[in-house]
Amino acid sequence: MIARSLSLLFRLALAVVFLYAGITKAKSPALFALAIDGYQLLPAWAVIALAHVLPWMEILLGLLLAVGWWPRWVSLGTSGLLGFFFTVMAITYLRGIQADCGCFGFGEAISPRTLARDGGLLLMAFFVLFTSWRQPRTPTTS
Amino acid sequence: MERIRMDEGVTGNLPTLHRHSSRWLPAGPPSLWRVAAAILVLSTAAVLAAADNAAPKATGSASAHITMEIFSDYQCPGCKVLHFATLRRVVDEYVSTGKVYLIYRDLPLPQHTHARQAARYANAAQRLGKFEAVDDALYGTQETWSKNGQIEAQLASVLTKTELKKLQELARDPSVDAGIARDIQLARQQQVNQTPTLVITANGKVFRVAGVVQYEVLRRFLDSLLE
Repeated sequence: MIARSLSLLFRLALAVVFLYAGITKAKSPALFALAIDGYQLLPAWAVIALAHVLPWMEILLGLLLAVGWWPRWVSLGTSGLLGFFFTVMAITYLRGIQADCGCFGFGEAISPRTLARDGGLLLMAFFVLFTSWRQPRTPTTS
Repeated sequence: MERIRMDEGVTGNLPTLHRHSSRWLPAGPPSLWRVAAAILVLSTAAVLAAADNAAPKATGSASAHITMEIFSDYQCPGCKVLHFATLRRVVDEYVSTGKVYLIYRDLPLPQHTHARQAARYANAAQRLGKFEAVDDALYGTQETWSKNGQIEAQLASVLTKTELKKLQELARDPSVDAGIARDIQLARQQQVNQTPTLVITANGKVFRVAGVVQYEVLRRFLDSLLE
């Protein structure tokens, strides 16, 4: 019971975070592209493409998290995406590159604080993933 | 006190000291005041000349919609990449068309032994009117002079002997170091602690972009600011 309540709480919190992050970045893809470019990982065309696509992916994930559709796959996608973000941020930080986090637009450098925050979100996502896969599937009526 | 007729029908009292309006200086040997006036004029000229020399290295129109400050270190490899791969195109397509005002700021990092001297030469070159050539030469031969410190030998290819000699003299001017110190202070105020860093100001907002920015990415951002 507690686990289910916590899972619901985390799922809704993640929905809010993803919707906010996605909408903020979708408003200015050029600015978001600057943040992605700061990681010095991708060629210009890939940076620009990702800056246009990623915010809408986040908005879609946020909506799906909010309504609770396909909980197993959405939580898997959320965990995967957050895991990817966290890994790239951590590697960039350890490389000594002073890049912008790009988490909620532009203007926030990667720091122990942002890593802790994103790490916390990742743990929430893992919890939602774990509880959603543990739950028995709701049988469909014929 | 004398009673003095100031105007027809109007009389007034004036102290004796100010009776002669043309004598506005206190009494004294005239040569002393001429010397004082000369010193004042020379000091003012010197201050104005220093202020003129202290003008930042900049290119483009100061009234451009976007101001871009580039904090860089001549011995920084990333700064070299930014200079040749990105800034040149920015100058060609945005600065020369009046859209961006580009200001060069020096931020020689402590771990780069020859960076400050290179910055001195760049600033001296600005006063000589040879900044672009020296700027390109410093970055173009970075690997060489970074190792051996022989910066002047590399600049000899873009300057005449006379220009090089003048450059060396100008580089020793204390105001050059003062200008670099001012840029470093500005970097601290703007929380810039790595090179290269672009500080872009437009529409009342300031954006700090650290690291090497690819031109196509920067171009889209500049275009979004110009919309």
